[in-house]
Amino acid sequence: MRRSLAPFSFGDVALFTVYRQWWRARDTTTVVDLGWFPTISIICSLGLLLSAVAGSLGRIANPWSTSLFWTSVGIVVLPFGVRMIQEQVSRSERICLAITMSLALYLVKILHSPIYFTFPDEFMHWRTASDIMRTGELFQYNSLLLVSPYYPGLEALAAALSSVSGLSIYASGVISLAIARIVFTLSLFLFYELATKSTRIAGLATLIYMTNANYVFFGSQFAYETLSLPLMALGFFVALRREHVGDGSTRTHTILLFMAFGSVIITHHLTTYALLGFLSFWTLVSWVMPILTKRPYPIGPGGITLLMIVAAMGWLVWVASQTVSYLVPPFSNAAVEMFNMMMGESSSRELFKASNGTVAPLLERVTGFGSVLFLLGILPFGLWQIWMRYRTNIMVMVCACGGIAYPASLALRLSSRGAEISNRSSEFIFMPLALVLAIGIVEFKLWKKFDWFERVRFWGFPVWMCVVLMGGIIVGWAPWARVPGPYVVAADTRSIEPQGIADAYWVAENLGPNNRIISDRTNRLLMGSYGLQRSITSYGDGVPVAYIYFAKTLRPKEQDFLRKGQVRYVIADRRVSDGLPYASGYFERGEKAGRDPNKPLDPITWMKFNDVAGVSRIFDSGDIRIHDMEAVLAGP
Amino acid sequence: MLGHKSIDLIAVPLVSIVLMGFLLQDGEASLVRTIATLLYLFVLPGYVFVAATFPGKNLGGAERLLYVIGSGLCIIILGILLINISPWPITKVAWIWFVALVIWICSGLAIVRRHRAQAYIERRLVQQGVRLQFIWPQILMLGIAVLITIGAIWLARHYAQQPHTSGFTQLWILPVDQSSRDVVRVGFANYERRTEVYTVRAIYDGTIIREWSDIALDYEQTWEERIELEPSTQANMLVIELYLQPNTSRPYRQVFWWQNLPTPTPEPSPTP
Repeated sequence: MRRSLAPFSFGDVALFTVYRQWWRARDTTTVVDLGWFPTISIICSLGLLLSAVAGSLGRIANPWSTSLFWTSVGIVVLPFGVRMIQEQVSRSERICLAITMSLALYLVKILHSPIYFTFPDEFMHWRTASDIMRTGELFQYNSLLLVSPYYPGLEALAAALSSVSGLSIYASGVISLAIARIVFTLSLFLFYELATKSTRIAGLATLIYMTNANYVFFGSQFAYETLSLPLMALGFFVALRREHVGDGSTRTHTILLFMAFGSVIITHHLTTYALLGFLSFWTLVSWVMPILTKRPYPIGPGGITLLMIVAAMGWLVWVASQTVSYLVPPFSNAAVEMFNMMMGESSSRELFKASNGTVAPLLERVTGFGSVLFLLGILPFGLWQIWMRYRTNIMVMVCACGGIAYPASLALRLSSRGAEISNRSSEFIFMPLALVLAIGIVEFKLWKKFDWFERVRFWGFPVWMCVVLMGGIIVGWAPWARVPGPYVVAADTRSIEPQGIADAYWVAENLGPNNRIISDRTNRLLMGSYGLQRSITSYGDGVPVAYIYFAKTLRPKEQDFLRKGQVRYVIADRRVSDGLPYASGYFERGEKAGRDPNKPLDPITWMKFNDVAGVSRIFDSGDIRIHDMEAVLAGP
Repeated sequence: MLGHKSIDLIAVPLVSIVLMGFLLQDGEASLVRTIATLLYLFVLPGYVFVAATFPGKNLGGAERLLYVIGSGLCIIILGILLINISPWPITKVAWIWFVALVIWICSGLAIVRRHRAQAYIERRLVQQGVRLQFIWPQILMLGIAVLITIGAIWLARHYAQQPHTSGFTQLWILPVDQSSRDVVRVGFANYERRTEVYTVRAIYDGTIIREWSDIALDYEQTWEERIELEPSTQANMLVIELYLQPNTSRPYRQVFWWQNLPTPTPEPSPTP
């Protein structure tokens, strides 16, 4: 389309010469056709509206809320799959679609908790952010998560945004992570695109990544991993691009690379180690491939890897040394459990069964298993196609090896400790796995006479993606936590309600910060965050909190434990005797040995503090009471 | 050096100064302030950083967007370490000055580096100039999608703020001064989501010593009084009972305070 020249004359001013040339060059107008993107955006927004309705119905315990939730997830996801699988889609449309789907799935979580944080990890990081803003310094003690202050990347963003804008930490966290989501999606798309030179594969791989079990809820919460993953993906893309650039910008890419990886190191421990593992493996493959194929290859990120190992170890040794004692027990326990299971000394975990004995409905179990089978079903095709078409491509080969780790990670799900590790690892393993699966879906072709196969691919992919995503949510997130609802006992997100929050704020205002307290798991989060208190725990302080609560009277032994922990206040929530805990316990993990696992707690367990001479009950809000243990501390 | 090519790099520090002036003022959170903050913290530093590190380099739109936002995040994350080791605490003022320094330094670097890459840029400006024309029905549809999404968020927030459980009342008793247990403050706060009428009764050593009747309290309103006890060497207990009218037969909330601290001597009982 021909258009006139500039609408006004610049005259002969030399300063504008270049602009005039530029303006003339704009004679050719490019029509920005967004394709199906606007239509899909409307469908997606309607899905989000339905998700909001599902949540609202859930709050009044309407039985339709769960069905509506799943329907809304389907409406949000399906159109993206339908469009992304098509061949004739522009790059910009694919990028828009990927970013929109990632933000839509992020909004599913925000619609779940739209006015304050409700996920356990979020309170832990809220406290760190709050401490930074309150004290103006890093590395303050956080009894909710001891390592959190030593990885302040997320809290830096939230604190900066909150202190400058005046927004709450909640709003600042939500906005910061939405920005991080955009970075994540763009990084993944560009990384996959650069690795395969195909926008179609890149688009599909990005969408497949979003179907991992933790993407919708766990990976959207206000927690350090949620930020570190986008930074890691950014680093991967920059590292890959650094090897491909030919315009002399290798050094500037290196600066950006150090910034991205440096940010990962101070944001999250596990992501740092996953990053180092990936870089090391990439380096190894870069060394091995020229030998095997007798072809020249880029030198690989060996130098970067070495520097990052030094930086990560430096941070671990000089700043975050507590990380070792935090990370080692879960991994060693999982290893012991797996070993015992293989030796036949312990039974495997019952899949789809909650700690309070609730078994998931049949349809959920079928979808959960189905999602795993769907992934495993495509994986061999992906590996085959990689061998056929990409075996000289270092990055794709690295991803292929990473994708093979997925079946291995499934074995961990048979033990209770291993299940958590397996679940958490999905966000890392899906990065390479998504590429392998996308290659399998796009590149696998039957002979021409089987033209029906294209139709299967076209209609099958959206359904496949939907099942994998839903199965991931089922496997990765407890049924009672998916949709908001009325209060239930010890159920993390479902136990956060206005009374507990108001009481925590009362404590911060009236008792001052950092009093040593004990409480049940829900009030520990609230008192430790909004209440600014110092929670005493068995894992942090060696005080058997559950044992103290389970006792029917406060005997000298329990009083000794209180003195050992210098516990000034005890929080007694009468609701712990209303039912069995939905999460792993009322107070702490591993508490089952001290109580009947099939019966709720006896009310005497929280009423006993009333009967101890000298112990004042200083606060009562109906469900929650606070007892002052000054007399016990002053005892023998 | 400060020619037409650097207009954006001159504009960014100027904009940052205007935003600094705005953001340094104390003010309530608002949409304008939030947008200004996002621009100041996450966009401008990233923009000038990318301009300084990739002057005239062949970055596509998506890559440039990623680098701008990504480096903006990294600058804030790494910046907190620098502020922490500086003599200044991590406060709003520190953040604003830190970002300002980043913007000004990177702008200066970017102007110099872009000047060196002049010929390259001029060539690219001529080669890549295009006019973007949007299809307006598509833009309209995107606008509708945004409006529906905002509606979804409003709906979720609205219903999350609705009372789905019964309200509650907080009652407390605390010493006025930590050094003395003889003077206490007694208070309560109404979170019943409606105006309620209360009665408060103070019972010391089994005797009613004070009573406050017909206290009408609106939602989220607080009531507080001081009670001075006669100094005593006995371990007496002050019990505060709160009654929610019309039910005055059974305390709605109850707290108690030991004037002196006896050594706790609970009855022994079997291990649970």
